[in-house]
Amino acid sequence: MSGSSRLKRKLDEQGVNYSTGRATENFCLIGTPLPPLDKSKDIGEFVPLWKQEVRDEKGRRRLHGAFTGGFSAGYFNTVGSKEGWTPQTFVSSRNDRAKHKASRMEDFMDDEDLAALREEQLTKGVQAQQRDAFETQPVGGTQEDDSLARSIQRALMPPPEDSPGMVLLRKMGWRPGQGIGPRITWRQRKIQDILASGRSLNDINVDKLAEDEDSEALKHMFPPRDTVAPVLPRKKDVHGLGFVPGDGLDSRSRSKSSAGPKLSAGFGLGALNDADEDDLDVYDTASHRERTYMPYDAADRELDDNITLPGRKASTSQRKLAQPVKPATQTFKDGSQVLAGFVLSNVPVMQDLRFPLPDIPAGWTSDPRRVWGRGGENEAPTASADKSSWRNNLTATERGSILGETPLPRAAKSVFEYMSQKDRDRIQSAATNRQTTKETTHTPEPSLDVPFTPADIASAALKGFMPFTTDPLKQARYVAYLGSQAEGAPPPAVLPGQSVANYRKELSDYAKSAVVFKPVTGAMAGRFTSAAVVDTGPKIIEGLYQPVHTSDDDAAESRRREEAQKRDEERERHRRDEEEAVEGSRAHAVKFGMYGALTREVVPWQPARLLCKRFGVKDPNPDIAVETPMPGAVLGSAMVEQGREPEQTPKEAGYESNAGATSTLSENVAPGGRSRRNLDNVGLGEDDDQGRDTLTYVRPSMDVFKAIFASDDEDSDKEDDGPDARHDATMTGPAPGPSRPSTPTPPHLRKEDVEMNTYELKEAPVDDKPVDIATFKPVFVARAAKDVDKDNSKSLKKNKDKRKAKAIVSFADEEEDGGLQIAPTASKSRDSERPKKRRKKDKAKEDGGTEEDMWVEKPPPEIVQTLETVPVQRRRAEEDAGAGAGYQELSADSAQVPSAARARKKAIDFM
Amino acid sequence: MAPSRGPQPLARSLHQTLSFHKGPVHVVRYAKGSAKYILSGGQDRTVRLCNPQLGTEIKSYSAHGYEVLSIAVAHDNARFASSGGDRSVFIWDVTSGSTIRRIAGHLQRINVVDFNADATVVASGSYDSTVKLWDLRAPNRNPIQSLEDARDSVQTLHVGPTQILTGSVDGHVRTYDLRKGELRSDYIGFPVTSVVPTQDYTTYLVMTLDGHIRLMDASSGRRLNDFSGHKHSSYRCRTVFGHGEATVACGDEAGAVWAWDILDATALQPNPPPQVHHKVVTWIEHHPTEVGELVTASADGTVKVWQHPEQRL
Repeated sequence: MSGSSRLKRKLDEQGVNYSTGRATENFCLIGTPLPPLDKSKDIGEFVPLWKQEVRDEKGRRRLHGAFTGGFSAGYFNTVGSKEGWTPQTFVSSRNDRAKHKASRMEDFMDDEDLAALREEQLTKGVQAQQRDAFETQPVGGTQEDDSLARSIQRALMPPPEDSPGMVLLRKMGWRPGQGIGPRITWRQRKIQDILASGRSLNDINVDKLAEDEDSEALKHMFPPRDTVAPVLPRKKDVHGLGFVPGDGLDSRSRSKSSAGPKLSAGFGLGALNDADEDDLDVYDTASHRERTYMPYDAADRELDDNITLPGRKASTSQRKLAQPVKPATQTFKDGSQVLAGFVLSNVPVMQDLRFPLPDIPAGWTSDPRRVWGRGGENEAPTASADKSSWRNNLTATERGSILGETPLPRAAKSVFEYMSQKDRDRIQSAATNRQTTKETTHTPEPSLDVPFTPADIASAALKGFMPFTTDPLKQARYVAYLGSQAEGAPPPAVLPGQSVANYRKELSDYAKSAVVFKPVTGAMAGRFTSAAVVDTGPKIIEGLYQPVHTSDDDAAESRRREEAQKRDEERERHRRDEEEAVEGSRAHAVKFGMYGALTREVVPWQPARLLCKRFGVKDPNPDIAVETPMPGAVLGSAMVEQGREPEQTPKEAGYESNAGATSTLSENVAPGGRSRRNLDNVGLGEDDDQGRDTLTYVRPSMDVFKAIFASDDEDSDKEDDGPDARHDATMTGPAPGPSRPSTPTPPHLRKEDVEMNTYELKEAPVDDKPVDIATFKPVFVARAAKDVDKDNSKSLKKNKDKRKAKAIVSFADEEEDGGLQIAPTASKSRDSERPKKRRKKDKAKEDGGTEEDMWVEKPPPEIVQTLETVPVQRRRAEEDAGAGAGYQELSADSAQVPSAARARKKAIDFM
Repeated sequence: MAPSRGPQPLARSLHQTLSFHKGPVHVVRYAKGSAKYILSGGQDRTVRLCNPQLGTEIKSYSAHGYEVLSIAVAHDNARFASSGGDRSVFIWDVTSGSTIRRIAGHLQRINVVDFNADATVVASGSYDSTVKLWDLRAPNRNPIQSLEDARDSVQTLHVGPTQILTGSVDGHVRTYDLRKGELRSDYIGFPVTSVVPTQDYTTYLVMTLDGHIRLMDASSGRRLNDFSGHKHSSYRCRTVFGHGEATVACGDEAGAVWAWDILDATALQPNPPPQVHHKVVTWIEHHPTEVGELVTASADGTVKVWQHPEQRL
């Protein structure tokens, strides 16, 4: 959005006619004024980059998006023909050799290129201009030969048009052939000349030259010598680009790029693009080239600066200097020939930075004791060094204490400073006591340092895997060590005959294994269960078994021991038998073929919900007793085969016979038969049950909701239950079970037959009594409230709300609230307090929004019924008059009466 | 046939010999429905679909990396499940011959797989002493439920409409009753290799490694009959009901096929039966509808189709 259009719109909104002169009056003193508002387009306004377009001077769009071809070529955009640029077809030069005309650069240039060329020529130096003007071929090999024809031509040809710069320079007193700049003395000019000729000033005495010259020359000022643009030599050798022959590696690295990198020429960079890294000229060597200075920039400059010399000859000579001509056949030191095109470098590639060993004085012997003995001496200098820098090292407090200042009040350092002296003493004594007790426990191994394990790791490892279960002793010591680290218990004592080193090694092993075997912590811990360790194999006794020779006494002893052992074994066997008898009574039963109750074990087993669903079986242990059957015909076929009704709880169904099942079923169905036709049934159509489920509405269990609204895969599976089920039904053929009613009776209906009668009784007075129009208030239920169904919160209040929302005609509140109720009058009084506007809106909504919303008719409460219509109205009118809007309110009331009547009518329709 | 003449004798005449497998054949199953085809799985890691009438091989399913120990055919014959040494249940598409799903989760080889009635659940019993129930509707990696009551390798499994029967080497037949929500474990006392219930699920046949086949009452766990005579001590063999559940047949380790009258438990003639396979008869299956058709699979690498002589006309 541009500024001017925004302004225009604003003016439009304010109703200002901006085409008048007043609106477009311009007070702009600085900057570009906005274009007049009546002009349609603001050309100068800012356009974001992506909206900008590049057009040439003829207004043609030159740059297109990448998807439309980038630079477009062709008839409408570029060179002349419809097909675009076509190369010249081959024409034999055999016959019309004379007609042959060399194509010039300009032949392939379009207007833009020509303009650019012209501009370039303008900006070129004067000499270049002249050269361009005089020479037919500005670029070419003929430039170099200074032929007689050229000089004649140059003399005869009229001088070219001066460039503006030249004109200016002329006006400033410059002549062609002179250099630009202030006039200089003869001496300076001489120095320039010397520099230009490539000689050094060192070996030439300029003043002596001046003496040689006539004194007249010294009196004048001379124009400086003309500056010649450096002519870069053509590349004629076979070296790589940028390679300077004879340069070493170190000299290359010294050169640094001063200016910014040069961009590569050619396509790729548009007018709107920024230079990228990729666009840099890879072959840009100019930046690496050493900077060149002109000898005429300033007369006195450092002598060691590189100087480019004027004139072709000078430059070539310099090149020759740079590239020393070596004899063609060079040889390495070992006699082998240097490759053609290579020269031996004079400078070695790497210079040794070795220093010769110092000369050891004769008769010197090493005596390290001299150095060792100097330890005391060494102290002194450091101390003195400290003294020298004492000023820096002292802190403010130290300095203050030196100066005898009273220390500044500052924050106390520790908690102890806040304590009373008594407390401090008590803590001190406690600490010392503890210290002493600890020391007493530690005294047996004073030199032993127990390897440290962090308490948390130790306690974790205590809970985790025990690595030394095979060796109980080691295990106990491991546990003891962990306990010592975790809770501060004493560490395991040194075993008798165990060296301190061994002890330390053992404990460090424990520390390591504690780190290794500590259970994974945090979130990972729950993912693994450590397997029960069954690593309690027999302990292997090392070495050979050596039977012990026993004497007679020993024999008696052993006999006694054997007897005891035997007794033990006996007892053990007996115990095992008993166990077997208890545990393996089934095995005995099997042995005697007594299969049955003895061999059978029945335990409760909870199948997974999903499994029950897949098998089409009701969950045997549902959480809630009341549960509607699973829809699904697998269930139907399977169940009916078994002669069981899925609705029945397993306890009552058990393994009943077919007949029993059918009888219960018929009993269940019977009360639903349409036998009675009384006044209550009128309007229910053929279906007696219509509306009854809303009367006896019992909120179904959560499982039903889950079965319907479950979000996981179960939900999607429900869809394909149908066809499969049908398939199954056909597979299994006609079911032997009882034929089921086409519309299954909901289970709660059967259960609550008795209750239903009471509901009917309750319902009766509502219908019979003539409804008081004034007090009969429809309850407005927004449709949005219906969507709450999915919320499965169990709070009673919410349930009530839901029930209200669910049924169109709802008497749910009757059971809940124990009586008839309508929307309370309190809401009315609240209405009157509301702002008028809101009320108006509500009214409009009530009147107009009946199609969208639903009316729920509710019988009026007894309190309301007892009241007269008029007093209510009057009272409300009074209230409203107090509020200062009696008229509106009255009209609203009068509007409400017919609406109530309408609602009444509707309610009658429902009956 | 008049009832006075006793039960229909077992089909004893060889109709076809299918020797497509290159090693022991562990399992052979009839297709569902009219059961015109048989699927056999063997040590050569393939499952082969054959026509038992013509004795021709129709298709070979090879994706298993280990032996195939069990096959279960879905109710619609569109899929079948196979399992074996590679510790996963393979669900195959019959026509395309590719695996639809490979259910890994057992820690050991899977001895037996079975579908439920509408092939929404596949149960797998494994050497790792668990039975896992897998949901085929949802691509869930975890089983619906894992039955870990067995104390030893689960050798056999039958999934009924509302119950799952498992037989384990620990000598128990466990009946998981979904409807009652209880587990009835009957202690047989010997490693169970085969459990086959009758169609009404009131009785079931148990074949154990002590060389006995017992007919058990499912409701009380009492033994109704005991069939013996065959040689069965170390291999997994199978027993089946004959046609109409009037006879009990089994293949034994000597390569013979035995048959008994279900009521008086007398071995049907010929007694003892001739050896029809060179090696142990690993699997026997009676045709679900045909009166006298029987297939046996053996470790000698053949699957033999048996029929009554008059049927061959």
